[in-house]
Parts: sequence; structure tokens; C-alpha cells
Amino acid sequence: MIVNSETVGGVTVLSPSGRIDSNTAAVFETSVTKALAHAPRMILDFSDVPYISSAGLRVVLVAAKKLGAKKGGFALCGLSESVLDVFQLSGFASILTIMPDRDAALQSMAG
Amino acid sequence: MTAGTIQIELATDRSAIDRLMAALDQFSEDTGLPERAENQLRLCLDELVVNAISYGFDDGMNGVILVAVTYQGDSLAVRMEDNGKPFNPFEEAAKPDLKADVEEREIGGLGVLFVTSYAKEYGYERNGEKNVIRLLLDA
Repeated sequence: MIVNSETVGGVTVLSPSGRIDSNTAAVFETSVTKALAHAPRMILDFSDVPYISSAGLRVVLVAAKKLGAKKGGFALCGLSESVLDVFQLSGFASILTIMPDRDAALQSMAG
Repeated sequence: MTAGTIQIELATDRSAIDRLMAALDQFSEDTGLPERAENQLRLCLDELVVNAISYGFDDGMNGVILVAVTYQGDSLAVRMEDNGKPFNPFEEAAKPDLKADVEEREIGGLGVLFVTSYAKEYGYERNGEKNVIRLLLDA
């Protein structure tokens, strides 16, 4: 699990690469926690994440609680069909901003 | 269509999930299991193994988890056995509130929810000193 971080127009974009399972979720959490310390707005780009477990969802929830899910502060993008399915089953899809790709996610935060 | 069986033995320590994932990689490669089924199988076992380790074993307990998966036709039959304290995840895990908003939302119970959503059939029994879980998934 590698987590790439970049800043685009004041938004921190984290792109984890690899499966987020009960073990690798700890690596993902370290990156998210570090970014949350200074980032007012964050996008999680899951384009290179083929799999996520409840341990990974817990980290997403921590970020959403910190940044406020519906206030343009936090969005997800690039979810594969399998990963989106997990977000839907958990009910997270209806409480988080999920956009198809990074451009759309950035747009959702503009203004 | 291919068929295959795998048996995985896991120690109840930090190595368990890595070993499980590696074994499932190999199984999927060997059998040509469709990606959707692979992800569902992976998620069910990831969550159940973590639950078993968290609830079934006090620190230092010498735990063993045995997982067997059989892929045949359009189904995956899963049997998981551990020698931990009695723990029925389908009865005892927390029930998530799926309607709560972000502020009130808690994470407990999601793992078992995934298992019961993906499995066509699921069951638990206490067999002697063992917890036994059986699942049937679409392949």
C-alpha cells in the first residue's frame, strides 16, 4: 500500500494504491491522519484501489467526520464497481460525496 | 468453468491477513475465479478472520484458524473453523445504523453486514471446542 499525496488548488488529493484490507488500512490511516492535520479540504482518489474492507471504511469515516461530508470539504472519486458496492451496502454512498473522477470531485468543491 | 479447492491455516496474529490475501491471490489465479466473486470472497474472509481474532482469543492464546474454500460450478463454499472462545458473529456483532448521518455514524458491525449481504447462505455452529462458520457465495 502506497499513498500518493498532492495538492490541487488548495485541495489535498490522496491516492492510495493497492488493496485496503484489515492490515494495510493502518498505512492508509497514517497518511490520512497526517493530511488531516493541515488539510482543510480533501479528495480520496480510489482509482488504484481494487478492494476495501470495513477497516478502510473506518478511516474514510474519520476523514468525513473531521472535514464535514456535505460542506464541500471531502469527496471520493474513482471507485471501482466492487468498491462502490461496499460503499453502497454500508450506507456510506448516501452520506458521502462520491464523484466519478478527480476533475468532477474538484469541481464539486469549487466555490 | 473451472473448479478448485484451497485450505489455508492461519495463526491468530498479525500475519493472518497477509497470509490470507496471498493464499486467495493464488486461488483466484489457479481457478480463474471471476473478479467480482473474488472480491466478495476476500471481503467475507477478511472480516470474519479479523472478528475471530478480535473476539475469540485473549492475548497470548495460541489460536489457529482453518479456512477451506471450494469453487465448483457457480458457487463458492466456505468453511472457517477456529479454536477460540464461543463467538457467533451473526448473533453477537454490533448492528450498524445504516440511516445515521456522518456525525452519528459508527463503524461497528459493517464486516458482518457485508458477509450476510454477499452470502446466499450462512451459518454458525459451536462444534466441541471449535467455532465453525459456513458460507455459500455466488461465483
